[in-house]
Amino acid sequence: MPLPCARCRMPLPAWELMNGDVAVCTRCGSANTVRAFPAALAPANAPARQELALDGEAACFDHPNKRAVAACQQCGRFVCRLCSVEFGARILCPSCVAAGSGIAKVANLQTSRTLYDSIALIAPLVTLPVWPFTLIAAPGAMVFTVMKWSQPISLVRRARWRFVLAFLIGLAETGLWIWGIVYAVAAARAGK
Amino acid sequence: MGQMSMTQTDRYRKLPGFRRGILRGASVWTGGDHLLSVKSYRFREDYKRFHLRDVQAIVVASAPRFHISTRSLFIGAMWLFAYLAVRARFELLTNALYLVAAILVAAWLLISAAFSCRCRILTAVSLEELPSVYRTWTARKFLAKVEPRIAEVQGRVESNWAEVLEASGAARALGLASAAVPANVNSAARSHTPVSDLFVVTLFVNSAAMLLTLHSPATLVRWLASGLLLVELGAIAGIFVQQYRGILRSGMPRLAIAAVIKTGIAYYIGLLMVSFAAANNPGVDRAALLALSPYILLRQINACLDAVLGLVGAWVAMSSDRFTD
Repeated sequence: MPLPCARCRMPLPAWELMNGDVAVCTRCGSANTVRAFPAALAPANAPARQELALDGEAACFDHPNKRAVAACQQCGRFVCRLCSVEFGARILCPSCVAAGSGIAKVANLQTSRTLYDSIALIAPLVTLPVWPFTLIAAPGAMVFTVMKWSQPISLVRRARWRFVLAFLIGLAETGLWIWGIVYAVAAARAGK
Repeated sequence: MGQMSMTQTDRYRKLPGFRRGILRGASVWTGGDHLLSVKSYRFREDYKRFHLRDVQAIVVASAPRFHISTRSLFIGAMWLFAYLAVRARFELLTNALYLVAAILVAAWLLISAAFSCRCRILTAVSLEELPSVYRTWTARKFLAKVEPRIAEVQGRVESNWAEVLEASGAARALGLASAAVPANVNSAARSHTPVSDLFVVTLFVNSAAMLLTLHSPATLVRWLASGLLLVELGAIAGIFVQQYRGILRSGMPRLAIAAVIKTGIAYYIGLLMVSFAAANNPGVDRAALLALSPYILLRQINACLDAVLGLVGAWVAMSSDRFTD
């Protein structure tokens, strides 16, 4: 497979790659530092030849004429080479992976997550310049924090200090509102 | 079928490089048997996993990257606070601050132009950029951390790997090279459309109208300016729609974003100026307030910025392949 220039994605010329670790792109002129690994030299993954199951041999659950190469470690069904899904050291069938049950359930295949803690934190802060909105945003942030506290947040950062901070800011703003309203009512009564 | 790994119990460890923007960020982490590229969009994170056994190559190309990180914004804010604190009292310190600003800007330009890079990770099915690795020293540290880990899984590559790759790749090049060809080669997206042309023209007309009517307090002039602004905003909306539909390349939408930000900032600064002026000059009508010199200066700056944006827009419209995704 031709290695591309990281800047313009044009394939780097072979003679540049043979010169050493740095290859200059002939299109954009960028100096590319290339680190190649054995996977680049491995033959392309040709579709594995499906061996036919002979009489008396175990056959794949989904492909009855194909020879089974393993059994699903979740449900026990036989799977052919095409259907076997390697899950770390285990092998599962496509149905168990799709159902996300058992072993497959613990595997994290998520590609996206919503950061509820950031949403909770931004609500009471972003409304500060238009402070009347904090009357809604501050208690809203507190309720949101309580509701979403147990929801998974980022895959990589696990601290929940944003939730704590959002709750404290919401609490402070709500407290100020209560104090303001009480003060205004008291002042109005004193004025009478 | 493909191979997957159990990552629930993995503790991710951060790899060198962290791109922190105002709205977007990126980082790369290492899990048990894979690298995890994280792209943050303030309230959402997108993940991409690269299994160590699948990584074919990591390529780092020198490329200018004029990224304004939150760190540089923080430094800029600190400078501004220091400047506001000392400007009226200590002339020497003020001059020193100007020097510091010049040094900071020069350093940022130098680093962005000469010590920046683009890093891509290549597997059999993808060629992904790692946005967090955008400075050359970060790329060096990143490679130093990642290379041994991949080598642990895959082993070391032969010394004459380029020749082997060339020999083995010759047979497959036809099929796979298409994946590496840049998108813009076959892209149907255009660098300009009638809507984007209208946007650029509006920028020039706005600029000219503002400069010609700087000292005019007439209501008609204000209505004219508002009308032009509406046309500009309409064209900007059209540009975003066209980019979403794949008709327009990314250069013009970026310019549109810059114009929106500029307009927003100018509007709020103008509003603040008029409010302060009204507070300091009670009883003076709005037309007279708009004729005050700070507001005139703001309009001059606004007009110049519109002209600059218009010039950039004209350049983007005429360039065929500079601004591509």
